[in-house]
Amino acid sequence: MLSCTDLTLKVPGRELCRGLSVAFEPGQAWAVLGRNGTGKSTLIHALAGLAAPAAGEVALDGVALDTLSARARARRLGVLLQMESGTWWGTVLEYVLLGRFPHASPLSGYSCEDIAHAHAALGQVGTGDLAARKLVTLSGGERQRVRIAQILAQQCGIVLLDEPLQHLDLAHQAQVLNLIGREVRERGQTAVMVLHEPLWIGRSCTHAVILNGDGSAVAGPAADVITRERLEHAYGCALREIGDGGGRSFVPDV
Amino acid sequence: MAGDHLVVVTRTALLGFMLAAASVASLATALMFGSLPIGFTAVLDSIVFPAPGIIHDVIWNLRAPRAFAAFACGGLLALAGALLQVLLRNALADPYVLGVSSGASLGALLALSLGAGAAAMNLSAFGGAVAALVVVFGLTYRSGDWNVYRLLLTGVVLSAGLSALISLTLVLAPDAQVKGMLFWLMGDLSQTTSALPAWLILGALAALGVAASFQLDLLALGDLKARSLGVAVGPLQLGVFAAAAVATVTAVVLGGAIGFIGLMAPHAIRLAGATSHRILLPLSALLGGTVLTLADTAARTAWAPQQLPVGIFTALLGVPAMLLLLSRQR
Repeated sequence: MLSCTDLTLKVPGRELCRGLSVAFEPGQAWAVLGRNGTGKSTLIHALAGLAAPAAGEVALDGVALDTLSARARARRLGVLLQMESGTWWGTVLEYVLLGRFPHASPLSGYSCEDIAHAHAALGQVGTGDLAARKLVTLSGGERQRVRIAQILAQQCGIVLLDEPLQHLDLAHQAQVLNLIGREVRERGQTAVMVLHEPLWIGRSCTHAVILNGDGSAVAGPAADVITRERLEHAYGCALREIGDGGGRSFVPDV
Repeated sequence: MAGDHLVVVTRTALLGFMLAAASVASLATALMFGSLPIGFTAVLDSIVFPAPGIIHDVIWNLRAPRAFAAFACGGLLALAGALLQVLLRNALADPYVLGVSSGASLGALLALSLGAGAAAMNLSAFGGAVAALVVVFGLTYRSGDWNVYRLLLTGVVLSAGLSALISLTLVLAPDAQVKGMLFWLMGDLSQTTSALPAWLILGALAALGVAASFQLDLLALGDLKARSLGVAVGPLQLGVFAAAAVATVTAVVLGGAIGFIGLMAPHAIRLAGATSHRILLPLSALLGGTVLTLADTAARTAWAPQQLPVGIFTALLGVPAMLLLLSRQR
């Protein structure tokens, strides 16, 4: 179980959140919501152990995250970054295979089993036919699905996904959310996702954290947290709630 | 799918085999050509049945030490280039972006203008290279969060400053020294003493690079992604910096400021289809060594007995080859 206690996050001149305590339990799918620049990615980085919080602690099963080795952490925690600063000149399969690094021998490299995992992950997001292509030749949406395949190949109990739906068309947004939902329900995975799409927030997450931008935050079960009033306060715009058999959606009331 | 994998493995093995053969051929060529042409059979004869004589002397006392020095020098430059390209995540990075060659050049030129001998000049070049590295490292290294862009820019800025001082030294130097200085600046392997230390360093660094090759692959994705996949990025960056620095300083002290190879050898291997560092690092070293050995042979032979700076020939041989490779890429 991933948890944060009294977490305070700061960027120069601003406090993003203050004293946030959340337990992200197995079988829960969390949405991280808030306006641009409210600290959603910073929260993901802190939960992933990639950035030290100003105060407070992040723990994995009660053990402080910063006491674990990078490798031990990478076996349990998969992180989809919003942006990658480097360029991968190799093939799609080679790129997805990098997700197996925490499980592979650092000296002798990837096994046939690792390659099989990479192929399976590519198949799960419907990109099996892209395996031999160079990554740089893919479209934005194809690349996003391949990036998600890399996280799937990493096979972690906990995944932190910063904007998993960016660049995806509607059908692939649904595909990716169904895929994550299935891992959460059937395998007890924990997913924490930064989402912007009000269409999906109400129907794909069991829990949510809302960062209001002034240092305050709300966290809890979706039924309590994802309400029209709270979202209007967080986004600073009027919303309309649409309900149907499948769940709730919110659209801007303009 | 498994078939694709097999094709890639076969092609890589073929590339490796071809480069290994080219390396041996380049060394044999270096033994055969020069002011005194020696036939292939005579070279073989001298290797298998060494007998004292002029041919034996030319091969083993003059050409072999220089050929092996050229190969090690080219291999080290290519290795340093590949390492710095991944450390700085910049395709235009070459062994000299850290200011090593400008520092070494300034040191060598100052020693030359004072009329120093080869040993003092090498020592002075070494001192200049290390001083430049220390300045770049000291200005950029922050434990835990090393901004590679600042590292790159600091190296480039320092190099620009040192280049101005190099020009000043050239202008103020006595006329008799200027030609030697120009040779040094364009790369010159004629002052070679022993290549053995360079070979040991090349072997050790290539082995270390191969051992860390999967981490290096991940470093190409950026610091955060590499860390999230379990790479200890801080120590790895320090190690890559140190390895590239040692390789460059060794190469520069051995052969002066030889351009082109460190930038282009890794790119040529990537264009040939090998992007994984496990393959990229050793093959770049083989290619760099082969090209520099051939270029140095040409520099000794083309205008014999007059010797030309080898840097001219690395570009003359390398540029058409690279342009051809680039134009064939889709």
